[in-house]
Amino acid sequence: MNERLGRIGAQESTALITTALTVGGAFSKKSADAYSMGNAEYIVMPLSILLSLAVYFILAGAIKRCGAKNFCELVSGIFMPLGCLAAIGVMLLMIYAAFNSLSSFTAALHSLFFEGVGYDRIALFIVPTVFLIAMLGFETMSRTAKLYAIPMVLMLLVSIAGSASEFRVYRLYPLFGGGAGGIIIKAVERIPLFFPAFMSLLIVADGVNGIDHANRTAAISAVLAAGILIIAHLAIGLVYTYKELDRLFMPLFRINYLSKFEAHLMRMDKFAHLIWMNGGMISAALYIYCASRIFIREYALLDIRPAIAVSSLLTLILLLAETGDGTQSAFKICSAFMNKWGFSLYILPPILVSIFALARPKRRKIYGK
Amino acid sequence: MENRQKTVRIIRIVLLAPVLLGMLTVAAACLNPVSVDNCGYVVAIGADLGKSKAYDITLELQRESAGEATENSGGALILSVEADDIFSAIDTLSSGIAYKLNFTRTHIFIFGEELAKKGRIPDFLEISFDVLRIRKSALMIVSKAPVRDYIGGLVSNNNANIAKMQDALISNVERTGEISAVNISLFYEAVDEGRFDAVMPIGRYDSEIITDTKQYDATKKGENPIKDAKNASRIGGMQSLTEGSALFSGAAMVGTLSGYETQFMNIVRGDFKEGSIFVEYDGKHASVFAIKNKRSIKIVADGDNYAAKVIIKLNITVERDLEAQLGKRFYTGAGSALERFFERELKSVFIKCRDLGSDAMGFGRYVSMLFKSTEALEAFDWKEAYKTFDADFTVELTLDDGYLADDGQ
Repeated sequence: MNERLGRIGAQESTALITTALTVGGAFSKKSADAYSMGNAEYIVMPLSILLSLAVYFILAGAIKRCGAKNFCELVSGIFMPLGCLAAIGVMLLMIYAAFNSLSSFTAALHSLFFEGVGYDRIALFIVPTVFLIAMLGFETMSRTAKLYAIPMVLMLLVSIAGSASEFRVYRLYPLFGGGAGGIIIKAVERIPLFFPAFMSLLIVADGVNGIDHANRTAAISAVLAAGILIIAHLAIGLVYTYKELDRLFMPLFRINYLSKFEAHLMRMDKFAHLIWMNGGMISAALYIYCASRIFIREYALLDIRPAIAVSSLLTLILLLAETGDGTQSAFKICSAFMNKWGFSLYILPPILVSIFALARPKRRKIYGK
Repeated sequence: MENRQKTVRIIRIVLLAPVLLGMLTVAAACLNPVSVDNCGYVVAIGADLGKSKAYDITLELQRESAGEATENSGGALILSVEADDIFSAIDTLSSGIAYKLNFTRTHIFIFGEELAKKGRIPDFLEISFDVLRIRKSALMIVSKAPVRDYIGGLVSNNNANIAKMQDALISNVERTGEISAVNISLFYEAVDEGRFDAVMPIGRYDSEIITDTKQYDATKKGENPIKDAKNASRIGGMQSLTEGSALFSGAAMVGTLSGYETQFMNIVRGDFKEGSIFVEYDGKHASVFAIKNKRSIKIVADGDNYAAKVIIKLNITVERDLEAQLGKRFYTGAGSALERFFERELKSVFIKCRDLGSDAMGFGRYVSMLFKSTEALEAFDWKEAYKTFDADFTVELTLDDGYLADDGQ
């Protein structure tokens, strides 16, 4: 069986999941009403990570209780006849997460970097690279993530530091727009940005040396990513008011535009973007790999590579559909639905699976040896 | 078996090689290379009201190659045309030049005074900055003179590099406080949010200034340019200058402040770092070098009426004091007199701004912090409340380098 999984340690898995969570929270396209009640993203994002982590632990508990090694085994064991459909559902959600990780970067390259180069051409350049990373397997992408995670975070901090002279507290007001209720609703809506990273960890749990290690990785990554996102969104909020943020695309990329004095540091936005984009590509490769893995496990295929090719192709189709002539309006409707109700697709099935699994007698192994 | 594996490996390499090569060429821009010689880099964009079209648009270009432009004007080139927007100006101008206009290096926007007074700046800027690749950190200036003349004055001393002028502008703000800088991003924030009003430096043009004595045209003006320039107000440097501030109320320019008044406006606005200020105490004149120490603004709300209590702390060094009393009597009356002088001047500049309807000092930013929800904030009319807004100023001065003031060293 050619799964290209390998084995990685705690550092690699933490780097990979932290990268995926950070990309999800800092570089994904915002939903239309993200700032409708003011800017509270610096609270919403960590809270959403916390909620996703809670769902993760429910699922991880169910996997452990059933004696499964990973999420793939849980799905195929519990759903029996429905397992095939469930696998396809999870696969499609992971592919949507891969698209989400690449969409902003592709749009930024198209609109801010390469004059006259179409969105489709850029997507055609990015997705094959992601495909190659995914083809190299889980272990390789995790080790690559370990290499890129620190530069990615450092570049984020350098960009934020470069704009510090323009931080103004009044821009954060009204504070905690929408109150606690609004914050919780938005945190729930943002779950699709984070839960796929945790779900990936469950899909490849055997590659990170078991569920216990995966749990530790999930907790550490959640804390790290939450810290990074609090800093990033606070910085964005200190530089742009909620009204401006409502109109802005990729605010982190433009965080230095407000500085009146342009130092060399502030002209590094393109360089920073390329480093951040590496994080986006690694995250997308992780999701594509996981989508492919759950598919081949459910359908008992021996080689993951054709599935990775198909998953990459589907990601490319989503990217092209986003700006395609006949597909743009339909895509917008789907995207709005996913932004508003996508969380239910991501968390309800796993919760149902967990309930089903936990309802079984304890310590009863239902999978392999 | 071994041969078969070898063959499979070779086939793999053969299949992957073109893909990798293709991606490399794209990454290295080999598929669509553009030489810098093929671009005309627009460093400044100027807009005045047009006669036949909406705008008279002027572009200052920096050319990288040693072409025709560099011989005459030190690398700078000016293009100007009347057009309804910047895109039609680009189309018209592009038909007459042999290179492509590139806006990635645009540092400064210059607007004519009339255009600014009519509130047409947002209309002119209603463009996609992303499409033109213009960074919103580009600075803005209002020119008292026709914009063509002003931009002409910028290149009059072979000064092709507007980036240096941008730096000079900022350093003027930081070193003198006599002008106030605003960039596109801040201007948009001011106009769209209404929490404060924009203040731009005023550009002036003086054709009498002898820009470069070495290149002075001896055949026309005589052989001694310095002697002939006795009527000129200044010798050397550019014919275009910036001094004072243009006050805005929303999108429209409503008045001006002198360089001196701008210093006091900047002190409250928070943009003042240091600078020489001409002061008066006990009927005597002096000049002090002030450095910002601390500033606190507290908003007090009484129903629909708002007021601010402003506390300013400055460190001063005496630069010029003919009576030599400021240092000697600083702690026995002169210091307090100076503090009262600062308070009077701050109040007077505040009242001037308020009467013009311009929240140049940015009190609205602090008032907006009183609101708990976006609905309440968006329903609040700061412009209306500002009409009855009052500010109370308290200035505390600390004398630095007292021995200089005492002995006049």
